[in-house]
Amino acid sequence: MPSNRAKIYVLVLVSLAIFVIALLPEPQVRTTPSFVLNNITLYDGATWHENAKLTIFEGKVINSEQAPKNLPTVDGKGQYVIPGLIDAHTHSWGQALEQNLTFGVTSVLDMFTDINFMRANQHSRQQTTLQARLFTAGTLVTSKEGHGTQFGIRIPTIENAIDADEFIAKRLQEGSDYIKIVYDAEPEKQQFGMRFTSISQDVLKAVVKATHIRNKLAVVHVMDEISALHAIESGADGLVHSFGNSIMSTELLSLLAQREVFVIPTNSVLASIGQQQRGRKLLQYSPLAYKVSSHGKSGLMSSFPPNVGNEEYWKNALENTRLMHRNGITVLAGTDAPNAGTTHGISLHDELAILVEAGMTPTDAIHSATGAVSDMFKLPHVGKLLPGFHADMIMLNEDPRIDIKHTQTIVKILLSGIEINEAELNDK
Amino acid sequence: MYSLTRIYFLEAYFELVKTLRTPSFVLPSLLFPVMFYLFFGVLFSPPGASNTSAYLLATYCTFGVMGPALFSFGAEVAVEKDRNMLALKQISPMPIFAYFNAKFITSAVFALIIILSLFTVAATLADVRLSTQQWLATMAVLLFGTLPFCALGLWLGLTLKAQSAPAVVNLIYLPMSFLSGLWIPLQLFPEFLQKMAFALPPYHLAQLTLKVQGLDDGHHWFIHLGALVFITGFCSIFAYLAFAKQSEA
Ligand SMILES: [Zn+2]
Repeated sequence: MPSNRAKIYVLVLVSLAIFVIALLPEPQVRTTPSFVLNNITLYDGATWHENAKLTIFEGKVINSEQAPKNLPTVDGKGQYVIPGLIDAHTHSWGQALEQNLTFGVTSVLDMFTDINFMRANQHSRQQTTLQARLFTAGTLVTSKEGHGTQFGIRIPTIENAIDADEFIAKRLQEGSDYIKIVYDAEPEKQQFGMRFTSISQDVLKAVVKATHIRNKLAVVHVMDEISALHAIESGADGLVHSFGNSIMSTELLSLLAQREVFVIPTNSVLASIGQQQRGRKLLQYSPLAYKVSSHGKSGLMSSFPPNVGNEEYWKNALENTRLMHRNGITVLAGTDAPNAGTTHGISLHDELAILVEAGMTPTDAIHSATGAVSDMFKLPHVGKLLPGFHADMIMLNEDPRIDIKHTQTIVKILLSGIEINEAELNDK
Repeated sequence: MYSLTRIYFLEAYFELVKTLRTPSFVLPSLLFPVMFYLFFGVLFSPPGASNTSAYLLATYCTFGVMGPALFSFGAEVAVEKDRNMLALKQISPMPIFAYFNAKFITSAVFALIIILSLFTVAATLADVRLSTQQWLATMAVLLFGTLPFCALGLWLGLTLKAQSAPAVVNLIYLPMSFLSGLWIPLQLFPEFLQKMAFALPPYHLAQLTLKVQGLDDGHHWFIHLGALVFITGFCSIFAYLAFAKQSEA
């Protein structure tokens, strides 16, 4: 009877569908834990607390008075707990977010990535997956044939101030968390031997305005004094690079201070431009070096061609960071990884070391990669270990106040209170 | 005793068995999407970019489910119409709708098999991880998403000559899939082509499917659904007109 056979077919097909769907793998969902971490030395993103305790409820820090009774306790004797670090200038693709997490960098501020990467990874920042939380500018704002168009990702560009409103609306609709603009006041000078055009200052102003109307931050990529001055005049909230081709003028420093513009100097990459080979050294001395993948190693070992910068470039850059810090300008830690000489994660620890070389105290340096980033970029849930924040933290064996390199003595990395299991991460 | 549901059921069964015995239909429609996906979504996707694999899973599934819908309606109806089998079915006591229903069931079964094979490949070889709801939702969107292509296929099948139908369907199917970004993500296309994709039905089905994973272009779901409903309606009307003309002849 065909009718009976047909029924069997239907049955087989339906059970096959159910069977396959049931067997298909699901992403690992982690339950966020609740516990009290006792006996720790705690930096909460603003101040240090001795013999402190941290109450974590369902992956977030809460006020200990509001915590339910009988939470399990964990003894953290002898450990220094600081918020998970934030790299305030990266470019993410591939395994960047996983790699960052391995080094205790629990959030990154990306300054230009492929919008597909943004879409795929941005929403997971509210969940607990095995990767650093991604905040991103998405597509950067640049001119046709400007810096940013050379990476083989086809991106829209802008030429006229009149298009700024629509352009920015489009970026924010795509999901950009803030706007990053590339600006060069004198593109004809061809810095670093590269030939790029630049948007005009009129366009820069219009773009910043269009961003501010929509209550978002506008940060600007500049690589010299005059461009920096123009960017501040145009209303930029922050600069995502410092520079080493000159010492910052008093005018620039006082403008930065007056307008409360923050700066992410990206010393790591400026050092690399200045031929410092810090990446190579990091591989030799860092206790975290064993975690660097072969891909990361080749990034750390690579360098810029000698004609783009020299020792003097680096000396100026370091001096500029020193001057900014001394003048009360907010300096944030960012690496510009994975540019030559850097790689995701480990390079941020070196950036902190540079900031200390530039005259910051270790606590200032840690602040510049935690609480200060949270404040400047208005990130309500990351960068601090205060009630309401994600329990993203690293536990250190040695006191980072004594030596900033102690941020590399990581014992545990916690994301939403969940201990990150490295084997599992590498497996991924 | 032949009840109406039994007629529908048997017609669908015979249609399916007939189609399964047509290797020129079965092999390309089942193998091509899987092979293409293996090639672009697994082998040539950059290491660690499981997102690319997940993205392409949605687009190759869309590509896969379109095929049987377009061919079982487009090419097959054209052949059966020219061999006067359609006229035979019309004068037989069987409601003509059972004939179209059978074609729909056949393309849906093929679609289901294609979806399940691609899911399996994606999960095992490309490390794609979705929640059970997402797997199910992707499957549901794609199964319902065959409807506009059934309607389009039907219109073509009733309009085209048997000899030219397969070629014409291919000429519509393949370029339309490519230009809708089903093979290579649309972001890699020049801007005018990206804009043009908006006018193509597969683009909207792919976007709805991608929406399940949050990987779509960010338009509202009702825009895509609206476009697909519109296409289904539009093609159905023209198919009906072609059918009416055919019945007169
Ligand atoms: Zn950068």
